[in-house]
Amino acid sequence: MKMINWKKWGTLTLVLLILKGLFSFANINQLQWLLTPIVYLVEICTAIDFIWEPNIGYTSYDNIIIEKSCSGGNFFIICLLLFFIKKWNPFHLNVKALKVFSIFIIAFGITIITNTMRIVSAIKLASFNTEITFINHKSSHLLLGSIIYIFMLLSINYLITTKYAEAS
Amino acid sequence: MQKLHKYRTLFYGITLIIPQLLLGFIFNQVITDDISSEWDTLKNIWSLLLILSFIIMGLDLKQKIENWILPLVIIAGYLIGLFVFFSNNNLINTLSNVVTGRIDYKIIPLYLTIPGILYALIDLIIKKFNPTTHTSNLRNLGYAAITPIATYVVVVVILPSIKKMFFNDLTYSNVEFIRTIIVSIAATLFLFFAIRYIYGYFKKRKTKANNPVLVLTFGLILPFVGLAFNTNIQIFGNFNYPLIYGIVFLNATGLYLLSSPNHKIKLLGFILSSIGTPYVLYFFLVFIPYIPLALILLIALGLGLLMLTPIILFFIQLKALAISFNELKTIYGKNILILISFLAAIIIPTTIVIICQDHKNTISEIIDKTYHYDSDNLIYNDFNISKVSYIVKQMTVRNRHSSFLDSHQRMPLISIYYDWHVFNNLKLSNSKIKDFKKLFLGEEKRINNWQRRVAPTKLKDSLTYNHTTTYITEGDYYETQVDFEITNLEDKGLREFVTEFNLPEDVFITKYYLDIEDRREYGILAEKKAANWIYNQITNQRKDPGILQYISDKRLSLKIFPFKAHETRTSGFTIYHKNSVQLTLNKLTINIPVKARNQNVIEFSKNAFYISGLAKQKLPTSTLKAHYYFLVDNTRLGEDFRTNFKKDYDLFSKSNITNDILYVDADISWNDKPKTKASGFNYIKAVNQIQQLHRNKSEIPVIIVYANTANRFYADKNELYFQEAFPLKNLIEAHDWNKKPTNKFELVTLTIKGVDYHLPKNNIAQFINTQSIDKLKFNSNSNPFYSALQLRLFEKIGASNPKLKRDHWLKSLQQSFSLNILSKNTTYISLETEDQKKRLLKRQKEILNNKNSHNTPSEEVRMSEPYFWLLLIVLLLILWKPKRITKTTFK
Repeated sequence: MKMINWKKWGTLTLVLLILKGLFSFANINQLQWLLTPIVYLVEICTAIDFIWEPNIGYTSYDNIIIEKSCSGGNFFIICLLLFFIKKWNPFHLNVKALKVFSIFIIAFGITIITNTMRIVSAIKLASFNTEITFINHKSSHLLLGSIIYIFMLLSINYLITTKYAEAS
Repeated sequence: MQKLHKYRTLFYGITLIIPQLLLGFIFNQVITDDISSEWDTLKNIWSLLLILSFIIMGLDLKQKIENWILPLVIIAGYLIGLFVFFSNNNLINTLSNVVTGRIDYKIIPLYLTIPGILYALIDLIIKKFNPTTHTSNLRNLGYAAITPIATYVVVVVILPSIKKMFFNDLTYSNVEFIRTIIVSIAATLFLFFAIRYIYGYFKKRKTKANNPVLVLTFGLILPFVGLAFNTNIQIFGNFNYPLIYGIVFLNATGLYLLSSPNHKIKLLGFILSSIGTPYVLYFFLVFIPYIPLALILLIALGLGLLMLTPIILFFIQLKALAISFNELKTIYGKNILILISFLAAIIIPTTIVIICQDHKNTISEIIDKTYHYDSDNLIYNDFNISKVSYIVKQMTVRNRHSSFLDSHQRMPLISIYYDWHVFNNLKLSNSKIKDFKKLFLGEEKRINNWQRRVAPTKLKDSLTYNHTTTYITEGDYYETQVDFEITNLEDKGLREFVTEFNLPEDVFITKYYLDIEDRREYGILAEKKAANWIYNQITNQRKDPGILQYISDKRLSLKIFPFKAHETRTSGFTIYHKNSVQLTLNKLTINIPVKARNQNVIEFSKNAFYISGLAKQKLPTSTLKAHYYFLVDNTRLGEDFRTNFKKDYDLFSKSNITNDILYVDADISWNDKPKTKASGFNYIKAVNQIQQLHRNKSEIPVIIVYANTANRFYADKNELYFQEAFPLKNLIEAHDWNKKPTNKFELVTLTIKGVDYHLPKNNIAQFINTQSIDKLKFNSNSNPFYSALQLRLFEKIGASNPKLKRDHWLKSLQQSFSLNILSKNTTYISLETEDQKKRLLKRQKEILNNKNSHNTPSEEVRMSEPYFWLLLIVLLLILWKPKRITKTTFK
């Protein structure tokens, strides 16, 4: 019977807690590095202009607010953890620090793309005037976000797992 | 051995390094640049201690130093650190979040440092001072008992005596300093001996944590005494819930049953104490920061023992459960026991989550039923007033800053979770909380003079006017510019001109101006709250503003500030009207006579009609039946009114006039009396429901109100609104009713597409909308008068149905702005400087975006991410699945 690797899981749990803690305590101004590229892409896709307002986030004249809870921090953490757990080494690097750095960069990029997809779809969804009685606006928004996130996580997992299979 | 060292380092990492990093992070968030320098000493100490800890931990891991050095350095270093922090306690007040936030920054360093010190202390005892004999262990008990007494003698007797005898010049602060040092050292010594004794006791007795005497003392008696003691003083929080006493008893019973030789009873004990474990863990976490304080209270009546009980009980509980687990696993199996204990342990947390969810639903329901209810919905909501009361209380306390010495105590830690779960970033304004208190808890109103709505004349004025009227042929209406000259007759300056006047509903104001110095400053149309906010700010700064706005359906207020002694200022506005207008400002009557032209009924928008006062006179009269509504006070204040109603109703029922009885408390029950409530009287909703019901009915509602005035809920309306809303004088207080029911009303009738619409027989203009109000939309119209009529219709419909008001609020604002016509949601304000205008627009934007005011409906769309726990579950599922696939692939 395979023993549980306490060291690995303990470290991962610690990483999870620290990252989640950092994202939870950070204010919107400190998360601008994550939001700015997302908003840039959203502006291109939707032709909606956003303005940065300190302590609030990016707002548009249509009252769309991209703030802390929209930053994609949750997805970034989960994406990072997935890479760590899968021990994914995209560039076959031998230096540990470089390996970790490359994973951070890729997770960052994927987060930007995924979150942009989510926000753009949500804006489109919000623009439909059709009333759905069994689901309110907030729930439909969260549902859409969840579908996109899960789809992306499954896709990433499939891609990196397939690469494993090919390698072995 | 090396592995053990690694675990030891890891535990130091968990108990000390991570909490310290978190501490640094939290304080880094709240220490702003302007106060940063004041915190330099503490920052340096924090960094120094962290670096020192890292170095010593590294040396310890490599076994380059004796194993007792690491704990000793940590205990000494962090005690000094805490000491310096609390010596500079006043620095906490420099943090801006202290005033507004709900986090107690004084207690955070304790929470995040004591676990490390405690672990170091236990480590030190195990590594260096391991009690070996029974006698040496008893000595520990003796030292632990003597330490508080000795401290007491030193602090209370010896120190002041020395001061008096030898150091007369010793200042009070120096004594305080020495006293604090002594108490800190004594606290550590006490803990050292106490932990050493407890450790030695368990070690010698070999796993006797489930000793019945020990269990009953620390599991039942002391917690009960502690909780009872805390009931009155509430220093540590509010634990006055019968459920907590029940859990204490349940847990103690469980621990007691663990000592039974019968394995079935032992299993029951295991389940019960597993249920109680979250409670023990909770109190352990709550009391960790109070460990040093426990020593001081040990001196005072031994209360410190009560404070240490949660800590001791935590260790007893863990040990007792571990012993029983080992015994029971041979009978029931390891996995079953883990499953049972897990299920049992989540009972209390799950209950808390369910309660929070229930309260969250309730809060959204009460917000909805107070501000956004649908008047067409006549179903009675039987609110649980005690639950609402609890939530409102939590919300009130949350809006204040609470510290651990605050008298408004809540349950520590759980209250933070409660706020997060129930309120979820929803910080309601005090005015809304006041509304809830009034509506749901029946808080009685205070008598304020301003509620009588007498126009205050702050300035003794001389007012003159002139006007110029133009007929706009294309639009078939008149445009009249009215100019005023207002003179301050007094010898004193800085006076405010205030007037209120009535305006018919088919007269619209535009182009308001105020002459400031030599220039004409046209008013900006702004959202009402934003405009009033800036007006109040400016009057404080004694600059020039003028403000014109609706204060009820037909009444307006005009204020201009300031006036110097004997100064004359000019102001004015333009009105759109179809008929002659008469306005009365203070004592001045303004007459604008015009020739009445087209006096037919006008369809100003699709299915929306305007009937002027003169047009009404041409309509045929008709007689309509009355329908009586009795609003009966169903609150605790309404007993006398209910009795009177019964008497009157017995007489009334003989008249056979159709009627309904509305029992009114926080909600409205139609013809079915619910249990009397200790809530407010929802007057506005009752009236709105009746108005909504009679929208297209061929009956006239006559409302007789049997209710106390003290707890009436008007929302944002006032008595004047109700008087204006019932022009036939068909809203009557019970004591004003002559008890002679009127069965018929004479009205005029307008027939549109075969449907009769009945209107009061007077010369007041009226609006009729013949389509479903849900489909009502603004249609762009080149005729400004027709556009203004649309705006007015929109507002009138919204007024009696808050659900629609919320939906259309933003649109009506936008229309008012684009048409440049004053509406009931907007305000004309003349501002002197560009800076004032900028501030107003910024504030307005905030209100429109619903960022600073919860009094305005939300129209914003937030792009929130899916929940973190959901993603975590997805991740776990992903990790679980490929493993199976891989296995099958490689077979």
